[in-house]
Amino acid sequence: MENQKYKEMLNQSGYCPSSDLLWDYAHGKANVSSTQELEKHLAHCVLCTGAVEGFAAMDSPASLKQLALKNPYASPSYSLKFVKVMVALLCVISILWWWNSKESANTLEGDSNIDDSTALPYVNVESDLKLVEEEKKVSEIVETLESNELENIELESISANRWKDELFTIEKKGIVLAGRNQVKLEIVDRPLTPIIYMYNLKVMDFTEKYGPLDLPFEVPSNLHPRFANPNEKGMEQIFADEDTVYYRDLLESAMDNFDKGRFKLVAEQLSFILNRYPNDDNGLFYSSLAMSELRDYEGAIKNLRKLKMKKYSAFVEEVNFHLAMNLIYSGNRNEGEDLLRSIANSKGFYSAQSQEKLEK
Amino acid sequence: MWKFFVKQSNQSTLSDDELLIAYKRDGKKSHVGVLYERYAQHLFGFCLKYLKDEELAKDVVATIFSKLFDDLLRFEIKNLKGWLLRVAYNKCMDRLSDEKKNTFIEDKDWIEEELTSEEFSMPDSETLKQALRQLKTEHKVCLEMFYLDGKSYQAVSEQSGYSLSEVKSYIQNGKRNLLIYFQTHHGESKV
Repeated sequence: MENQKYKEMLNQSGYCPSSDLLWDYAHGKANVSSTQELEKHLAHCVLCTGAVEGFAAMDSPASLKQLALKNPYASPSYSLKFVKVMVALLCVISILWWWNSKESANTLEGDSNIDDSTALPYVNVESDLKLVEEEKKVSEIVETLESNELENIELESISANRWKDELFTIEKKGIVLAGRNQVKLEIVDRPLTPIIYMYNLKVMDFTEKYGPLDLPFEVPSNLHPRFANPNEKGMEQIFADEDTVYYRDLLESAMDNFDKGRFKLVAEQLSFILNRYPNDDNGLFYSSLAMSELRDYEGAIKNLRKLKMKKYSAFVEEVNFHLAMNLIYSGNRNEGEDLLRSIANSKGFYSAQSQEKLEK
Repeated sequence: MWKFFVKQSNQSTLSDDELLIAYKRDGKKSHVGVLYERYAQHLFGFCLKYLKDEELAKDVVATIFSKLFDDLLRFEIKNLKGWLLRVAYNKCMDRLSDEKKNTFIEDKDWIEEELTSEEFSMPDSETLKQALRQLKTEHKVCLEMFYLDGKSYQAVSEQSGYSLSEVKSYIQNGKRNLLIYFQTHHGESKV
């Protein structure tokens, strides 16, 4: 028995007691036996000790109960009856939908009410997202909206003829039409963009995303891969007989130049990409690094802040670190060091480097 | 098809580590829901200690779990409670003035210990007795009264003459010094 008591001194484990018990203890309402066991737990548990101090400052447990009700991650527990009702409802809706589709298919050709999602409409688009102003399929609009991190936008019914000449004003979280009908667009599942390496530099492969939208870039000869990458035999051969430069070509050329330290060229080449795709992750990231090398810290910070807003970027960790460093270089030491500190504490890829920078 | 009609199994018996593994495997947010049930109110009280404002504390708790939800899929979190504490502490400190932050500076060390604590082989009681003798008097007295005599904080305070906060501090620091003693003299060995 005595041995056990000695061992309790070193015990660091054990589940935390309920918050109700901690509450009672904080307000002197716990019974004696609970108190002894609880205090042994408090002796080594930072969380519960802090919680007790916090609860002691509260007058009533109302806020505690309210917190318990709002679990945003809870899974509902379904009863069998509820499930059966939902299944039955779904069956009814499916039958109605099928019936409606059948009726639509019987309508005479040429009717403007035909809902044919296989023949997607071409629409003229103008928006505050600076989309390229040309005819676009709705599916292309969805892709472009995805690249701008707009969520909760769902593609609903489309009329092949009705949307042809409609103008859209695209706002941040939805679409409001200038015409009669509204369309909600929603991204259901967001596939991750593959990551590839060009000259050992990580880039996000937007080939598929930009594919149908991609047009050749008209770049001046000094930025053209044929001339901008001297001694790069691959580039010379690819572009020997061809002037056409697409996104991937321009990016690859910029990455080669980055690898070789030709930062001015990199910044200029990537500016063409960013003019067309202002939120392009690769463009924003590498242009900011190039600008930093060229001591344009403000420019680098501007692009890094923009990239930081993108939740799904492959550069999410790099962005924070480089933003911190550029803030420091630009004289904004406090903000830069605060950011380094949070990176150091986060135990991510750059935490050791950040710690080192702080110590220097 | 049959599984569709069956109630979901009770996940609350799984340990923190098991829930984290399950979440990484299938991405179901209900696993995080169990962790929320387990820790949200404790974290709320913990944050309230620093922030002294219920709405702010609730806001921080929501932020912590939102971050957990994202970070779990990106990083490996080995010690969930320690991670929650560190994030909670940092988020609270972010919202305090420098002057107020300084009053809580000692808590940071205790939190870091929680994050880096490792299991080790439990020494025998003779070794423990020997280690106790190495401690400062106030630590030794409080530890013995608390663990060996089974007294509460209040009772230890009344009998020793130390204040309640001193007793809590001496017990906490006494335990820490015992651990350090064992790690220094007997090496770490993981269970």
